[in-house]
Amino acid sequence: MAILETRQLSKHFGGLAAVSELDMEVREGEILSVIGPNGAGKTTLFNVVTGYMPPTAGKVFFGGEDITGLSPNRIAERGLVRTFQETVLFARFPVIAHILTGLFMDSTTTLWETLLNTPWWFQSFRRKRAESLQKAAEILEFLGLKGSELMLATNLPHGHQRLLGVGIALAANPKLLLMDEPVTGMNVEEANFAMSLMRGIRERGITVVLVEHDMRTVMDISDRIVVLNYGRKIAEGTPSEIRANQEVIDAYLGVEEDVA
Amino acid sequence: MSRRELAKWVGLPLLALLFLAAPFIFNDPYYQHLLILICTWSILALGFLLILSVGQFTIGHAGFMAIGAYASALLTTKVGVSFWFALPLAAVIAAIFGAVMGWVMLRARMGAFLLLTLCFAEVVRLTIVYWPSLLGGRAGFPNIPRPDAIFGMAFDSKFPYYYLILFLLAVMVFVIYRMDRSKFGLTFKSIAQNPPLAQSVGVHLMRYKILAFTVACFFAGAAGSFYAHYLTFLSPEYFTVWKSLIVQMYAIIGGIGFMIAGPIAGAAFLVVLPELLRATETFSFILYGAVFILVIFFIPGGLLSLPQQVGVWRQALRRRAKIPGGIRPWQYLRPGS
Amino acid sequence: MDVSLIPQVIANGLMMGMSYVLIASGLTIVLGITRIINFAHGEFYMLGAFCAYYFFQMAGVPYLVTILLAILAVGVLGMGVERVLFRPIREFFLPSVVVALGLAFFLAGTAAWLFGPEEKVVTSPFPGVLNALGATFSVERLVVILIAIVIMGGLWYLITRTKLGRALRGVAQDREAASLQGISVNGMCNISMGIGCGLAGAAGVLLGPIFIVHPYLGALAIFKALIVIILGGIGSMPGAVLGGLLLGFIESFGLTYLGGVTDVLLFAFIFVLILFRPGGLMGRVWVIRH
Repeated sequence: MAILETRQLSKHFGGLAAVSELDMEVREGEILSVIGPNGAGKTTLFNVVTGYMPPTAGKVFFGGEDITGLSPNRIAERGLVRTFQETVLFARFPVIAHILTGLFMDSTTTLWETLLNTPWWFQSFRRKRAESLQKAAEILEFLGLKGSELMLATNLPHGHQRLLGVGIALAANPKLLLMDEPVTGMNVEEANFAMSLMRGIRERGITVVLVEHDMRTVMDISDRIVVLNYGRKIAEGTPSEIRANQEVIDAYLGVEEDVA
Repeated sequence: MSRRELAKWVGLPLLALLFLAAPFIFNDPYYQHLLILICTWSILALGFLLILSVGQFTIGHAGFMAIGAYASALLTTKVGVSFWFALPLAAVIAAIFGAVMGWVMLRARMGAFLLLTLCFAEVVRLTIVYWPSLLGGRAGFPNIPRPDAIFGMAFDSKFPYYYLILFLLAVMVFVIYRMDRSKFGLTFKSIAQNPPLAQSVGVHLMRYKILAFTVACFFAGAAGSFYAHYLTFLSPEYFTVWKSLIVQMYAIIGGIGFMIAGPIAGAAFLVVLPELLRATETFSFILYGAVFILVIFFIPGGLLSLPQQVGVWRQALRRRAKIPGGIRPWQYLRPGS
Repeated sequence: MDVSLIPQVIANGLMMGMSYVLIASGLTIVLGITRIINFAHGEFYMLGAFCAYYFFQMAGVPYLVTILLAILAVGVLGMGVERVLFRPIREFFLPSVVVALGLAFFLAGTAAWLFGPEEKVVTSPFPGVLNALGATFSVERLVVILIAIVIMGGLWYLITRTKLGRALRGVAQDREAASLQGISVNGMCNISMGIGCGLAGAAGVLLGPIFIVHPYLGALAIFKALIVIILGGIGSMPGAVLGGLLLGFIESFGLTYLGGVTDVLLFAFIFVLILFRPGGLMGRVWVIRH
């Protein structure tokens, strides 16, 4: 069953069509990779799907509901959460605060509970806070970031910063996670860990869509692959089908990266 | 006992005691007047810092204080409400203005927001100036009644006024403290640092910005109401954009990294300093100018970061390195997005 | 509505407008290139006015020479201030506001201390009136309009026709690209501050004899200049000219035919304008970066 579906989705910048008439669907529980040469419109696709840019035409459906034109936070509330390509974090926050910020979406703590959290008035605030902290600890352990809770995010090594980016998104309790180049800039060891992490994320019942340049990762991990070129879908299928697809090879010809 | 615990269980009660005992220590109406001013401006400076914590720079906060002040003055003189109802009502009126204006203005980016707040504050002030029949105009709003006696305390000396404004300040400190240490504070700061990332995990940017703005305006209104009944006279000249700007300097000079202590320390320092040096008006202008510049250049984290700054200097001296710029919390503000 | 007043009102509007243009164009150059809101700009205007008092009134220096002297003196002071105070914190919004405000206080206080806080009168260099179109114009005001137009023309030539002007515009548009082209950003910021403050100084000499001269003159001047550049558009020179003239005429007509309400309406109008056009009438959207 399709959890995310785009119908005739287009995004134009002036005369340039970054995404054009794209029909794509993501099935529940799979890991889908979106690949394509530089400038193929992958990141634009993410931005349009998650509400950061309005589409020029077409519709986006998430879980059967039309989410076209909703604001990013509304879309995130429905369970469609993204990560960012660049390492974008909260510069002044320690690691744990990042995860907590992600967790607050589902938090039901009201202003009154916050203000009157003295024990003999509102037990609920403290209970909710303890729950949040426990969830945050669990996510950090899952990411292998346990022990650096109080470090400033800017002091983390680059690979860990990327993982923290995933952690923020995970904290927001997604049904579908869009990851924008999660392993770019990581060394082999970190990339392997990130891949096992993605499998782990899927095992938690979260569908994963990633945009990635690193072909080794893509071929290794994906159930299905969608190939974009100049904003159009030129191929779709399992990694072995894509590997054999002549059109894809043509699109990548002249590009340094090797398919396979 | 760790240093932190020591500060919490010994330092804070001592500080609270100091604030409570202050009018007895400085038992002179003029000094007490200064104490009252420090508390009043602290409330405004705290509000400014709360708005800054969601990444917006307002220069029209005195406008909301004016709304509270004139609302309270009108309610007591024209409607005949008691001060004790007028004060919360004035605060609520200012908060409603804040919520509505916040809803309109907070959509703007930081640059435009700054200009919008300036215009709003001027519209408020000029409305007062050009509506003499109701608001007194340039000549001022005279004969605002003193607060009625409460708990057997008549408002005939500075003492009750000081405790009243101290109470308002304490309530605001309490609210900000609790918000700061809950999801609200964290969310505010996340919005200031990286709005798209905050949005990606479902933070409704406008909702939180308006919340911070409304809370700040609520207390500005309360402070305005207090100010009206303390002076028993209001003039639009009390609420110019310059007033807003100076009050905000209190927060920045105190240290924007210190959500609560910074504005209060800054207000206390800058109100007391000219008195301490017995400065004339001319000289206090020079003094303020010099303090603003020197603090930014040598203690960029604000006065309260002085201990950390000294540490930075000492480390640099030990390494015989060039003295670095020091702690600069404003580097992490990412406005404009 | 009294139609016979119209020539008078237009002349007043033009005079006020041109003086706003002079002050605001300096502010907008500094803002456009260094990206600092120079809250001390009004104080440089005040210093220009004191130049008029001390050089022209007391020392008897010829009027036009006084203008040049003021441009030079205030401009050099501005460049020094830029080098020492503004350069280190140029990239940061919050500290730049504090330092500029601190400088404004410092200059106003120092001027009051050195020159005395009392108001000073500068005698008019061009006394006499001109009767035309059934209205009376003072010669002095006409001369001020004329000189202001000459100065703005020179500025326009400098910015659009010279190499220096191209470099300035380059820095205003895109700092990184300009510095890649080999333009010294530091140097341009310094020069822009010199030009901006020089303009403020010239405005001070021109308007000093018309209004009174005192050390706390700056606050009102900077406030008006801010309104002008908000109206016209942050960092836009044509915007500053348009905004200044517009403000001059609005005030002149409004005060004659509407009264004080004009101010309220003006600010309400600007509020709505920024809401829908954050860049003002002619400017680009102003984004504060650090």
